[in-house]
Amino acid sequence: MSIIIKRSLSQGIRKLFVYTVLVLAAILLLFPIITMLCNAMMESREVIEAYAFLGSGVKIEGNIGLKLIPDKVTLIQYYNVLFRKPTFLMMFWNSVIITVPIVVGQIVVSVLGAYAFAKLKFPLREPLFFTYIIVMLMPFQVTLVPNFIMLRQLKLLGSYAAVILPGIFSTFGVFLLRQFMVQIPDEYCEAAKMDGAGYFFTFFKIILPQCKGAVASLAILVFIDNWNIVEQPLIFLDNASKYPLSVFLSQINLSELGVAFACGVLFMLPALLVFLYGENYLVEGIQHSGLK
Amino acid sequence: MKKQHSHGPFLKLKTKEALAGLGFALPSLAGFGLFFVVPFFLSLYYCFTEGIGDMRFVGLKNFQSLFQSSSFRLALKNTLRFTVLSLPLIFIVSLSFALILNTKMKGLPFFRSLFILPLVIPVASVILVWQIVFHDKGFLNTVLSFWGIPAIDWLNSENALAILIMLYIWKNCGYNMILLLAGLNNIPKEYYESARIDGAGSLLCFWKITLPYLAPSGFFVLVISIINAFKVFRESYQLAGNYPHQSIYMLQNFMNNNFHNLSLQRLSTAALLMLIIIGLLVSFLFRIEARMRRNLS
Amino acid sequence: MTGSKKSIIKHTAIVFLLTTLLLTFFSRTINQYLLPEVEVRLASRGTLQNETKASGEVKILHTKKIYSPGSLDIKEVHVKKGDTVSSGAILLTVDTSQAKLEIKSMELELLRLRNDLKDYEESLKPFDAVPYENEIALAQKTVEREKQNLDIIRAIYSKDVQDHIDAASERVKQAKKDLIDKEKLLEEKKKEAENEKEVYERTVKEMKLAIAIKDMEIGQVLENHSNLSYDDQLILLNRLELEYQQLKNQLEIYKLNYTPIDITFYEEAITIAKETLAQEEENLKQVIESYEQSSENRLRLFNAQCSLENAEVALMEKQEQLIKKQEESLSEQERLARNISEKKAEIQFKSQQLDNLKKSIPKDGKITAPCEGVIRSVGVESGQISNNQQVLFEILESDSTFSVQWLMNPAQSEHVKAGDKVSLKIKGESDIYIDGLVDEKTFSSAHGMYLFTSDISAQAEYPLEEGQEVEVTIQEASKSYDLIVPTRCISMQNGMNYIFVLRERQGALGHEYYVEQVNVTIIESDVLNTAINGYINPEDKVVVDSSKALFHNAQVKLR
Repeated sequence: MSIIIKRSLSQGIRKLFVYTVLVLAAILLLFPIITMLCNAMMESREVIEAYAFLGSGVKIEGNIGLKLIPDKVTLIQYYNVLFRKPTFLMMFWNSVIITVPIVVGQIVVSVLGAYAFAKLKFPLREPLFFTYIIVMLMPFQVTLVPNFIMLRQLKLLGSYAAVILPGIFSTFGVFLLRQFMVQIPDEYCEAAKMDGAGYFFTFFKIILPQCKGAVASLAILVFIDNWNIVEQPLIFLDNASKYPLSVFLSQINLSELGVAFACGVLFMLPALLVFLYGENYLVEGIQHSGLK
Repeated sequence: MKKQHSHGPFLKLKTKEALAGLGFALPSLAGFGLFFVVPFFLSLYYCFTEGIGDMRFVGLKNFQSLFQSSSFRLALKNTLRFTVLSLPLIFIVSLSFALILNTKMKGLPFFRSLFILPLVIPVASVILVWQIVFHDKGFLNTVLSFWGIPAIDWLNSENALAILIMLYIWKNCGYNMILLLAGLNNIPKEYYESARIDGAGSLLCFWKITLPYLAPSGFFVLVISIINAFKVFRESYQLAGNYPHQSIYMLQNFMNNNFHNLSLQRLSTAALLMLIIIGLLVSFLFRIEARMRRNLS
Repeated sequence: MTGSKKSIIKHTAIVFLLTTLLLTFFSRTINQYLLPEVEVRLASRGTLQNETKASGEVKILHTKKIYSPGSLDIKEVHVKKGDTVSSGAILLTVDTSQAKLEIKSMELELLRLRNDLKDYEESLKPFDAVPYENEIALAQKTVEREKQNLDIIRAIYSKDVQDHIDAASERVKQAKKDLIDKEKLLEEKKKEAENEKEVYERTVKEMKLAIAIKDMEIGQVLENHSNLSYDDQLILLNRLELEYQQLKNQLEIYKLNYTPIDITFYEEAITIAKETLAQEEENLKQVIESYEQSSENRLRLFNAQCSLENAEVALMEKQEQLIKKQEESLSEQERLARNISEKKAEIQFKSQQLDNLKKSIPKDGKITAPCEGVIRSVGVESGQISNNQQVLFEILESDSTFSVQWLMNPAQSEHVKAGDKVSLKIKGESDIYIDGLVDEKTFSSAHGMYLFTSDISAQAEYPLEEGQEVEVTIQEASKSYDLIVPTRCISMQNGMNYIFVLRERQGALGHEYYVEQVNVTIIESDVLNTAINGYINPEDKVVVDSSKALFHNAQVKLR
């Protein structure tokens, strides 16, 4: 009896501990988002007052350096962003223009490539795939030079294509989908082959339907990665009017602090929606990327 | 099976498969070749030349001058330091949370979602928040001052590295955690049951079963962590600009700055060096993983 | 993840995208609609024009007026208007006989006044307070003596009474103490008697017990005789009988010997002590009463007090008398002093009058020209009697000039300096316009203003009159400034002046205008324009008017 009670008691304590740790971690993880949301609901004056130290380095007395509760809840910042800042809207669409082709292109290229690497035998398959992995592991700065050289050769510098094309051919997609497809039993393909189906038929009717989740997770991962794109546009695009929102946000002036929060929230929104919509696919995708 | 394929009428089939494979992989291979392989060899060529208009072959001079440059050495040192410090830390943190979330308790899926959230939040959106928190007169210092701790200029002191590691963990912990969770799920439950019957405690179970069987996932987590460690530059750049405090001046900063100078030779050389370093690191990890796998079987 | 959640997310996403799409599509229109309209002006290089107006009058410099030194009986005027005279020329002659008579009578009056003054001064004697003070000192001495007397009487009286009362009360105290002692003794004795009685009773009891025991022993012997021989019994019995008798005797003796302590004696002693106390208290009362009623003592004391009071009253009277006398003498003195000063003033006045009168009569009864020149005007005629200070002659000196003088307050005259151009409009039957220069700027402390003079002798051909009204306009050209903007485009915030400058940039929607807030410092301003300092080029367009409040970097459209 007492042992059971003791055990249940110790389990209770352990549970309490676990939840405490989790809640603390959750607060830490959510902190920036909450701060963004709260500050986006303040007037410019209020925000600038609360974070005056960012600009002037002088802190107003009694100011703890963070303000979460607005004096007056207002949507004026959103109004300012959406109605008074056509730049924001233009850049939002720039972001879309850059991100969507990358996502679509990378999915198409990767699905085809992954099928080849997973299910079809061709010469140099393994060394090539190994090269893919190595390139995938390279930091962006390493591939930046080759990209730049080639884009210069192709005279693509300054156009959206300069950002989109290298994005489409990122090797990560091939790697992720191949990891997924490898797990589809060979027997399915064999069976289809026995029935006289061609490679295209096998790909479209057997492999693709089973990869829906993986494709979705790839789409999410690529979307998020490229929604955040900052360095490539800065280097490959010459005209500020072509910059995506991420660049705009990272360069937003401190004098527009109030607007900056609302911009941040609006910028975060698509990524957040995509995440909420495809969270399970995302988790699945991440998990598959880890399987050898 | 394989032998049959390699004979007679099946030879044709194999060629056909190879052709189909190449065909399917063509778009990917073409792009890969165009944007990564070919330019890589071009940039390799840059590594050994000098000058802008007419390039002369200079051998290893670029490497030499690179190593003589103090900013490069600082960047290299910092990159290594960051990697060495952050990898074990993020591994431990993610593993702890993975273990917690692997238990069967209420509400855990919700927390799992929360942990992935930082992964999808755009850096540009929240960078302002980090600036507010870590500013010299920001939130963190104000809170610390309540306990009488003097203000620290977080981003302009040795602490910048700690901040960067924290941001790195904040962002990537969720990704690693999910990978590890998958790994944990793949360990057959029977192992634990039989171990428990043999009287093994939970700590022993962790050492003897969880860790070894988690090794493949763990290995992959480390690799991913390295990739992500290089991606943390995005935060660092947005938080501290082109020339951050010298404790977080990384190879990426070095390369970015050289890119603005358009010194392609120097850049290519640094990129090549980085490639070699990462290659060595990854192959080192591969070797360890192979050894662990052998031990396991 | 439920289906409904997914659909919510899907819908949110669609709404968000559509909103942004719509807003983007119309952003140019919305933007144009919402943009503030501004009106701009070029910032220019130039000068500020300031005109200052003032009114002044024509002055003629270097004219000499000859005033009548007093009331003169003019015998003859020797010159007429327009005559040229040389220095020292006789202008008029005066009849002085009347004046001399007047001087004589005035001197006589002065003498009389002086005598009066002397009389007053003699009668002014200081008040002699010594006899009064002596009397007061005497009275004070008397008061002193009476006080001493009273003190002595009081001392004797109070000491006597106190001694008696002290002695009586001492005796009362003694009697009280005695009584208490006695009572204590009685208490002790009572206790003692009780103790003794107790011992006695106990002893008697014991003895009685012993007797009873002996009696019982005898009885026993009588009952238990069997085991003893008769003789023995007899002997024993006898012995016992004897002992019994002895005991009884002892008791008797003891009883006889016992006498209880008699406390009545002590009780009596207490009664006596009480009586003594009562007596003493009575005595004390009598003593006090007797002294209170003692009329002799009281009379003496009363007399002493009365005589002291009398002495004090006498002193006070004397003092009052002194003060009164002093006051009287003081007012008398004051009156005298007033008279004296009056007389003195009168004398001074008269003597001055005399002096003036003497002075007013020109030497030799003639007035001469002080300088060379032309007679501009003649104020008197022969046979007239001139008033004092009347202008007799005005002589235009040979080197005289015309000028215009005007006054300006310090604020106005800050920028006006010698050398500035002025245009003068001299008002008359027909206005005369003259351009001149400011020749002199002096501060006139009498007016608290600056006095400006512009010499116009060059224009002497005009028929100018002294005191003609002149309208003065000063052309005040500032130095050339690099930046001059309309005054109304300057705003002020937190003590900083700023203007908005129109700039162009390549925005998301193409070419767009925006305003830059530039802090400026105001150097000088006139009615319309202001010269400023700031980071602005002379070719920059400055916002003069806007349909909405502007802020730094705000996008605008041109009107």
